[in-house]
Amino acid sequence: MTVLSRLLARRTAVAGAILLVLVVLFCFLGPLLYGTDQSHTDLASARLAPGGGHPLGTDELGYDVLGRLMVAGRTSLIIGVLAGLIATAIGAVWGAVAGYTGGWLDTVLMRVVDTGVAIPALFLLLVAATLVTPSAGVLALLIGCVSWLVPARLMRAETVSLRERDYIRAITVLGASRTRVVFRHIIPNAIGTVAVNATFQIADAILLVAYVSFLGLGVPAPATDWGAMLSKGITYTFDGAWWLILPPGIAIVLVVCAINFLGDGLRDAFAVKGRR
Amino acid sequence: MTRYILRRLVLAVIVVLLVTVVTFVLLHLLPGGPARGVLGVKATQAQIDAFNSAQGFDKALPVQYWDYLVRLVHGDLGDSYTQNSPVTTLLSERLPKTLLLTVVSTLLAIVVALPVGVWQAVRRGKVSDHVTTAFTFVLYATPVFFLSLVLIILFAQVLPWFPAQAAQGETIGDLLSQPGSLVLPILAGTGAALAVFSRYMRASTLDNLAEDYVRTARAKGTPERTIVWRHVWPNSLTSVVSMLGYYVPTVFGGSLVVESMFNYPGVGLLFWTAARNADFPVLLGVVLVIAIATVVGSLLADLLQLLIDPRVRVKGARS
Amino acid sequence: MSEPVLDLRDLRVSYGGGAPAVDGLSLSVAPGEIVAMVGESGSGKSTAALAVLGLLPASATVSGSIVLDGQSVLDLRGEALRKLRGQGAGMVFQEPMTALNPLLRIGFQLAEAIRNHDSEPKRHRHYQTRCAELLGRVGVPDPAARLRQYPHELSGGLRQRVMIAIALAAGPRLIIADEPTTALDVTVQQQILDLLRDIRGTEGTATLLITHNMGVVADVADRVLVLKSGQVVEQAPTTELFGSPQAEYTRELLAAVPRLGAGVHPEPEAAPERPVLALSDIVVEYGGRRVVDSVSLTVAPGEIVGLVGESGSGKTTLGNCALGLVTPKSGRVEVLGGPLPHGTGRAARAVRQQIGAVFQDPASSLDPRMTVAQTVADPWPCTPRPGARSGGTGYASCWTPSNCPNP
Repeated sequence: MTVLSRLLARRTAVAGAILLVLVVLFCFLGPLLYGTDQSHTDLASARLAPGGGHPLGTDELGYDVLGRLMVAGRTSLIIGVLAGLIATAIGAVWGAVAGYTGGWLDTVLMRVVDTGVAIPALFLLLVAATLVTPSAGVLALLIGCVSWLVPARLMRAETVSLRERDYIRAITVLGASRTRVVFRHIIPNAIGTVAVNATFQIADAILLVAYVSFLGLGVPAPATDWGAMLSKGITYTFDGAWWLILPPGIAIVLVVCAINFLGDGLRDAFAVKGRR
Repeated sequence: MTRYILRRLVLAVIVVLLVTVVTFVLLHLLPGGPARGVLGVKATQAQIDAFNSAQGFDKALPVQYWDYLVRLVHGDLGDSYTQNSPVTTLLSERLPKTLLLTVVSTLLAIVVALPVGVWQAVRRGKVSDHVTTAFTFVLYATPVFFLSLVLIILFAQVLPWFPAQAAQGETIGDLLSQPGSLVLPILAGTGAALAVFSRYMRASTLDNLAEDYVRTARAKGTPERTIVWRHVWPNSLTSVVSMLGYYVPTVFGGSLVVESMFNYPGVGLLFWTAARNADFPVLLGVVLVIAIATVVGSLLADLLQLLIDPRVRVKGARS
Repeated sequence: MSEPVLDLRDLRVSYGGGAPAVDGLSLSVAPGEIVAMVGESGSGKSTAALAVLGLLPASATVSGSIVLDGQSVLDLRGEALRKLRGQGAGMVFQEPMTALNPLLRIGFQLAEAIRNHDSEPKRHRHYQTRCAELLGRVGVPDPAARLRQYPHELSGGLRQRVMIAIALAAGPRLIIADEPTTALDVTVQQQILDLLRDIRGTEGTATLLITHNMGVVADVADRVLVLKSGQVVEQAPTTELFGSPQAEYTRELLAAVPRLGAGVHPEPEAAPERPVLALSDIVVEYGGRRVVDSVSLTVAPGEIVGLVGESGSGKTTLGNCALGLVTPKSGRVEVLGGPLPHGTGRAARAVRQQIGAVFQDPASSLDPRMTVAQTVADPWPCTPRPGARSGGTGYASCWTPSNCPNP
């Protein structure tokens, strides 16, 4: 069975994928079907409860919440995906180099990872966010640069175990070059691990974006994301303005759940050992 | 075994040293140096130069780093730019409160999550497993701030059982005098950890149930209950303990959010306020302390592993 | 003739609607009899063994009848089935490394086997004397001290003895041994087989021995069943089977047993030319431990040299030295008349292309991501040889020398 057919056999993974597609359509195509003004504030119609022309009400500046959810979702998704991919790429290369070369370079590279792991990402991100005003691209880069440590450790472990395996030793004996070993054997074998990890990295990155924005250090207004929407809405918690809190919160939970379901499915589908 | 512990200690010291390099470099990455941060964008060059020479920021970087280390060893983390107080004092006031919050909520999460994870694994594929697994997935995907908000709406607004704000006060005693105000912050911290630990325990128990030794135990007529609790449980526990060290930074990250949500007077809130005011000595002081706490935490987790797994004891003795 | 200890009738097992793993197997084991079930891996012999104690996973569909110690296994559930396990038959598995719980002391795991069948279970410590007796019975030296040890502190052979002690603990009339010697060193294998025979002799315990090794069968079995694709191909007393095998498949199995002097040994050339491989005074140390201690050997062109020893004796390390995978601490490795160049440079590769290597475990020596044809073809692009055609046909020519029976 191919990876794809094994993935399709898992109901939760398929459900996750479908949900994800729906959310992407909602965020990127939604505004075409449901046009709202997301650039001019309209204080006259601020904090309207759901109903009438606003299915999810309006926020404190008079923006339509449903429309805002789409615009904010774009930012969250784009930053999350970019950051997840950046983290995976850095981590995969770092870990593969450490694992395959071994020796002192391995020691140095992995001590750097240990150091990074000791500093919680959120703390580092907040320090960074006070130094620069983050645009979406910068935020993706920052998040990518603080979350590559786990993939680096995974990749190193994978590479070390591959390097020690008999078939890698066998082809080394047969005279294969080092580049050949890395590109033809180590990378293709580790690709499953990398792909699965990338999925989880994206989910975690979406959460991290939300955290940073929630703490008030995300993309500057008028741009927004789900975390920032929640952060604004929190002021009105006790006024009963639930429509400012629940929609962005639920959106985050749904997307992260969907990606994790997909990731779990991929992990099982890629498990080469389990197939034997 | 002593050698293993010693090596682990040396490693921990190296990591802490590397962290000081990171904080030191960050301090000097500030646009215009720390002086701009304190004096503001309107400061004249003369003011900046005066500040730099007063703080020793005009010396060569290695010298500055050495000075920085010497000061650190003497417990001097500099003074807060905004609060008229040494960073060390601020930290020593607040660290115990944060530890109270994180330790209690993590322990609570472990106590609940581990049996739940085992229970899920044993009932794998049944409706109860699907329901609890779905629940942990949702909990895992819920950002701590959203969880906190939901808790506040449910248990402070709809059902006004607990205050939405933590008690304020100088000492831990002040906090403990109003235990009700600790409930929601602790629950928020527990929720996040619960999802992580129960998912991990379920997976680890499933792995162990597939091991050969379980087949041996069955073949000699051991009751299923004994297999789960005497055979599988300790084995799953060792793998959870080994991931405990990695989880320490996440705990502190979570407490940053929980504290800012509930206005809980701990290190996290201190950090958040400092971030908004660009109070760099405080920011970097907190980073350093959290990093040291993380390193100590992983060290403790490794030692715990040493205690419960006889194989590690032997491996440690040989290496 | 007395009632058999174990009686299987028309046993069929399949997993999730797939092809049957066991397809109509019937066999019986008389008290005190040693019956061997032989077959290649995948012939269904382990599945049959697990079925006897009701240990198959829930995904397995089982039909037929299994009567163990007078009880119909397939009709038993819950507590009754649990009681039969260990008491009706004890089981010994292939991998002594993983079959014991790494976190529990030997004493606990052995005591549990007795306690599970005690009508009034007491504390594990209560069974200490009996446990020490059992360990002594299976030939474990210093049993009292061993009870306090953990599995990883024991050698493979000792662990397998502990497994046998566990299997004997509840006094069953049958032991099912699933490849009990496969994972062990040759000298230890013999001791374990002797122990099984001895237990039959003194306790009168019957044994169902599952193995793929005809040598083991010849050594201990009274009767042999040959299994192929879940079906019995032939069944006969051991001497008869070895003397006049009836089935074609049995003859193939027997032919695969190496016999001394059976092969053709051409005399090595009188004046050997320079050796293709010459190792002199090789010393290898790992972390201060001397693994290879000044070994010298030469291999002449066309010669086959066997290097024999127990696991841990350094033979693989020596082989890796010759391949340049391990750098010796001292000594000289000469391949094709010159020193073996190190690293992965052009010169090193040129020499390595002249060496072939076959590793022990085919499952881990082949890249799991590649098909067999790809794997065989893989070294080719970097080993251009005169006459080798490119493309599919060139690869196919690899097959001929290795004489692969079933590509």
